[in-house]
Amino acid sequence: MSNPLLDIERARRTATGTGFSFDRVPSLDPTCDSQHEFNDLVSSYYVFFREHLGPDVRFLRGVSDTQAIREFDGLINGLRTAAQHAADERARRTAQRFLDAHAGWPDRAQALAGRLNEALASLARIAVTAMRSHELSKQWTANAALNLSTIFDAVSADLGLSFRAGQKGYMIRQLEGRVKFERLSGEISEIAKDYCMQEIVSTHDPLPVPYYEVLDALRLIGSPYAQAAVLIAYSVAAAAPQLHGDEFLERVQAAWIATTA
Amino acid sequence: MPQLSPDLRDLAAHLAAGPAFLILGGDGATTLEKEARSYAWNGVYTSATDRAVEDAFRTDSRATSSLGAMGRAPSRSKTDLEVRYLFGGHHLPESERPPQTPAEEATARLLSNQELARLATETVTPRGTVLVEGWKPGGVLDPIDLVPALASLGSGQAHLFSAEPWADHALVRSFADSGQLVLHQESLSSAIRKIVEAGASRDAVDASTAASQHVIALDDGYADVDIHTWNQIRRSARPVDLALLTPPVFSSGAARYQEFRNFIGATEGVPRWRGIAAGMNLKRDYEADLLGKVRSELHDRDLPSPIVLAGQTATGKTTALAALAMELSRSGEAAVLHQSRRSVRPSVDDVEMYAAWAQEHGAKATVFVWDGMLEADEYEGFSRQLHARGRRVLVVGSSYRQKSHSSFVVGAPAALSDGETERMLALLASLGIEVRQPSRALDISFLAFLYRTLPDTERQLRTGLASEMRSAERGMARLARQRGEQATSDQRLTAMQAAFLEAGVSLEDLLPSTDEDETLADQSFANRAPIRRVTTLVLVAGRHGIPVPIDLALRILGREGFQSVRDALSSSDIVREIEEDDGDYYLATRSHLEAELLAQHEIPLDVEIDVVIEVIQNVRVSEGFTGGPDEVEFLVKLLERVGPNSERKARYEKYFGDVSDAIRQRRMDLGRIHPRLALQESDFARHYVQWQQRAGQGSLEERVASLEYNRELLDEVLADQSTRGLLRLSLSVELASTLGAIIHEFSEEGASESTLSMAARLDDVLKAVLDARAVDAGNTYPVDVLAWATRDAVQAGVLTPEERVDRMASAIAAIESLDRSSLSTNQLAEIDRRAHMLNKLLGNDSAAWEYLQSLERNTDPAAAYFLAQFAASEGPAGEAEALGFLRTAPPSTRRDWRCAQLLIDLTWKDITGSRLLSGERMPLYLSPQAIGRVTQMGADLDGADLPDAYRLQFIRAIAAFVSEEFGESRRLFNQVQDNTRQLARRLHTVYLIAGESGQPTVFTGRVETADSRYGQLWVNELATRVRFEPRLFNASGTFARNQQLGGFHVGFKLASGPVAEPRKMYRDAHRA
Repeated sequence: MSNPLLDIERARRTATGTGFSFDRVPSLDPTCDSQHEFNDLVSSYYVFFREHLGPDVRFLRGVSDTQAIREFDGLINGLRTAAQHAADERARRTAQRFLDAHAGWPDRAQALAGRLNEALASLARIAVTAMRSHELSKQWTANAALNLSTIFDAVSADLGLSFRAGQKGYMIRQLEGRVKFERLSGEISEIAKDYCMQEIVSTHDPLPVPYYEVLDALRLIGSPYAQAAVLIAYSVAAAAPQLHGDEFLERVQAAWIATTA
Repeated sequence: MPQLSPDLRDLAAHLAAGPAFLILGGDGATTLEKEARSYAWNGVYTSATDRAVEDAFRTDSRATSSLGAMGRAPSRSKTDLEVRYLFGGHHLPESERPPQTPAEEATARLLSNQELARLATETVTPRGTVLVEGWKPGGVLDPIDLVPALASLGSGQAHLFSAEPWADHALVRSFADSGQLVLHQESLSSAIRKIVEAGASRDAVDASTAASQHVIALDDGYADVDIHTWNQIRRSARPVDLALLTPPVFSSGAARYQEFRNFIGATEGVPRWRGIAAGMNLKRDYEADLLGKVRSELHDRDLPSPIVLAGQTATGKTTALAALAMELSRSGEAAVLHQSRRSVRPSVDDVEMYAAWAQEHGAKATVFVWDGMLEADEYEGFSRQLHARGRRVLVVGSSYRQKSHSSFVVGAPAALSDGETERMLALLASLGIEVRQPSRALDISFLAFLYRTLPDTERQLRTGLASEMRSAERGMARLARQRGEQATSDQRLTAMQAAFLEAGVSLEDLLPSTDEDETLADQSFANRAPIRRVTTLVLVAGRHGIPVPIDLALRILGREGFQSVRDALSSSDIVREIEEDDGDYYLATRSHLEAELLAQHEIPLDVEIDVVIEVIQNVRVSEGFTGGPDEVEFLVKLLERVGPNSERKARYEKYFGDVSDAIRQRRMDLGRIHPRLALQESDFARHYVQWQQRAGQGSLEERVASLEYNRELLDEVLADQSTRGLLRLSLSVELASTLGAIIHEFSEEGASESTLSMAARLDDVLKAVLDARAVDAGNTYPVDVLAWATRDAVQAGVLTPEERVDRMASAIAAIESLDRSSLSTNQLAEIDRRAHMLNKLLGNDSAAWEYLQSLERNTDPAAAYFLAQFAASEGPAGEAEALGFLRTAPPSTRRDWRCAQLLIDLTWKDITGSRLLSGERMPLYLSPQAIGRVTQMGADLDGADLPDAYRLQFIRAIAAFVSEEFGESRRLFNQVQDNTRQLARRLHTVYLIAGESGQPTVFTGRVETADSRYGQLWVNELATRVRFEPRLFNASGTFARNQQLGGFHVGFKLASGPVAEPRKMYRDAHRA
């Protein structure tokens, strides 16, 4: 029995180089005995489908849309909105139709999971098609490049590091919080790279130059010693805060040579 | 994220740089936690004796096996982990059980020490790490045995964990103080956990993930390759799985630039999958042609013919083949395997196993991309073997030469077309590398050259762009040539050398420097500085595009090997280390052309031969798959590049005798014969004799004695029936060639060899040829050898007319016995040329003619064969005459293999109007009279020694089936099946049962059994069951028991006898 979510993830990774950033997937075989539990399930499916999986769903629906995906998207949106904003009449009707069609919370939970599974199976087929097309893969890659998870993977690769899904998920949640609440100025992806690097090396200060320029200058991109080099760069920045640009890089090079001699 | 302490960061860097080995003390396994157990070790050694140690390391994504000390060569595989029990194991075979007596204990300790020495001097490699855990004072593993064994390792290569009990031990302390052993107070598990949490270990992450680590795209989805299938196929090829297809993600232009520089500077012959996945490969024009041909073959109903990508060195073949493999794999059209030239020789069994696995998982075919740089014949032979086993495998190979008998050849030119140049400039521009459009066609080697002129970092590129690019452009001018001009290899080398000079790159600078005054070229291999011995060894192999297994290199280099390899790797960019994902390590040169240029300057021919002989003396000779790189394969490849069949034969041939002697000496030292090396020994010796003859060296007696020695050697190898398959074929052909060479010697010298001896030798040639044909009846070489040996024997003038007629009849009959429908146009032309030569020889032989005429009514089978053959060549009337002549010949004449073969062919043609086994799905009506004739012929020829007995068995089986003698038919079809295992055409449906009108008969029936591949069908009209392939009848391939099936044909295959087929297949075949 194939796992459609796994198939989407495999297609995504083959097309873009990165997998999903989330490490928690709601159960597709849920048990609910009350409306409260059902609402929790709706909420978790909503977050999963429209937020965690949202960018990929939007991209893949742009490639090809199917009834199963449209219907689930409309249904989960209706159920969630109805649960949280009772005044939304349209959502309330959508939710009521679904609830009337299934008797009891256990059946409703199973039916909802079934619809999600159908939508995921549809998405998996589209994902495989996209993965096999060079043009669509390129578009998917461009789409994914803005994703914090992709940036985190790229920064980790530069630093010669590789994290387990749980660790990565934790750090990305930290980063998402930081990106959300801090007032950012400048190019977002550059800032995101810097934040990723800072999260990985456990600091919250910026370097005078992008970290990858340090690694490039030292020929250490992807090296097991990359992280150590970034830490040296931090030491130099702390000791000589007046240095910027090439001057800073030259000082870091000197410090690196002295340290590793 | 937690930060690592300096010593753990250093350990993490060491672990990332090379293979990792674990030595566990007596109860070490019990102290290991999950992180340490699941780490991707390359080998585990233990002084414990219970199975629990092996069990501790087995996971869903890793198989394990237990071995005793010095059991076999280590493999370093991470997915098929070897656990070595240094003092034996209770669960191992008797000879590897723990010692019971003091004498056994002494032996066990000796073996343990040898194994530890091998670990430290070869297995760990100069970049590997040894970690020791659970080792306590008083245990069976004595410090005096373990610690000194680690002495040859470099700084940071050996680590002792939970080292507290050893803090005051003098020996351990002294090694720790000298930096040769790093002591850690904490446990290994704790250290690994910290490294993993810091993200500093990819191997630990990989090992901890779920079982499905190897996934391939197939059809509309994916298939997980289980670990056992993976481990078996990895001996022979690498499945192109998602891991290879996944592109890297780049944070910046700097990271992308570095990847590109690594891509163009990658070691040739080693595909850099990351770079291709990132789109950094220059797409050559021929790639579209190649992909088109592959797809066309895959869509064809017939079994796919091999496709060969042919071109000189450095024309982008390796990248093109890897890109092809990725494209096909990504598309899910087929299961794709890839094999580059450096690894072990692929085994037909492994590839067949994988093809069967893939078929069960829905693959319509398997594509085996074999970047072996071999002759097309090798791919064709491999392909035939797979097809004969019923596997739909398309072999796509690479070769230096465009010559091929039956493969499609796609040429890989060195010069870039305008379109290719445009694409290359656009690619470079996208990386910030601006190069002017060359005025003339540019050689593809420009990209390899560019690596030497591009700066290391993007920052340097940005700051020093102008000067770097001027160097590149000056080099480019040297590497460009007039359009349409095809440069030879030598011209390309000269151009490359000039390009280096123009760009200010000195060849000498590519090599590590030493303090020696003497010119390198003047020094023998033995007298060269240790670091130069490394480069010399690697260049000798590298100029032929062959990487050196690191274990072998270390053995040749001796005690200084570890340090000199480390020095060579760190001080020059010409020697590279290649790590295979199955744990094999090699030393290679970055570029074939650079290696050639350097070798020309630094390595005189006698030094090169010294190195070849050193390799022969040090190679690890093992049979079959034993784990670890196949050093015999490496040696054979090296010998092929400098041997009699190489393009550079003339350069090396005066040394063939030395090489042959060295192989012989190695055989003597070993005390056993390795069939592949025996083949090389004989081949070198035989061609040395040829050279001697041309050069006027040695006496006839000496040369014949050398060949006779070969013959005895080959007889001995062939007497062992366990030598099978293509190797047996090659050995049989070599034996025939050796015997032919003896005949040639006598023929050239005009010696008065006794006629008996000459005729007997020719009979031996025939015997060897028939032996070879039994292995692969589709191979024309054996017949070719028989033809020229017969010519030489006849021309020697010592055979009697009777002997000449007899032997020429055998040679011509052997040619006639080839299945022409399975041969390519080139092969047909070649065998026709041989047949013409023999016929002409006979035509000019008046004595032989006289003999034939005088014996027209005689019973000599050779004469009868010739007379019938001559008559049959005159058209239908002559065929009838020949048939009548043979049918009335005495039984002993009829049963002669040549006459019997002709009789079968003529009878069949008389009955059906066409040659036996020609064409496909030919409607066949056998009247009762025809059935009677076939049955009678079968009885007449019973006991005849037919080389292709399956032909008669097949028509007898069909006749029995049509006359509803199903038991007899089954018996005969089983014989056919056994006797045609090597025939590619055995899978074709040759005949379809037809009515008197000549139209195929339509049958009805019902399904008795069916699985995804095969089923049994009850045929109503015949009241018997036949096989069918469900997939041919409907796309899903699913059938219910007793499901009716209306309107199908029944045909016959050599491989499986009667089969049911949809009528559409006949219509499609005959429409085409």
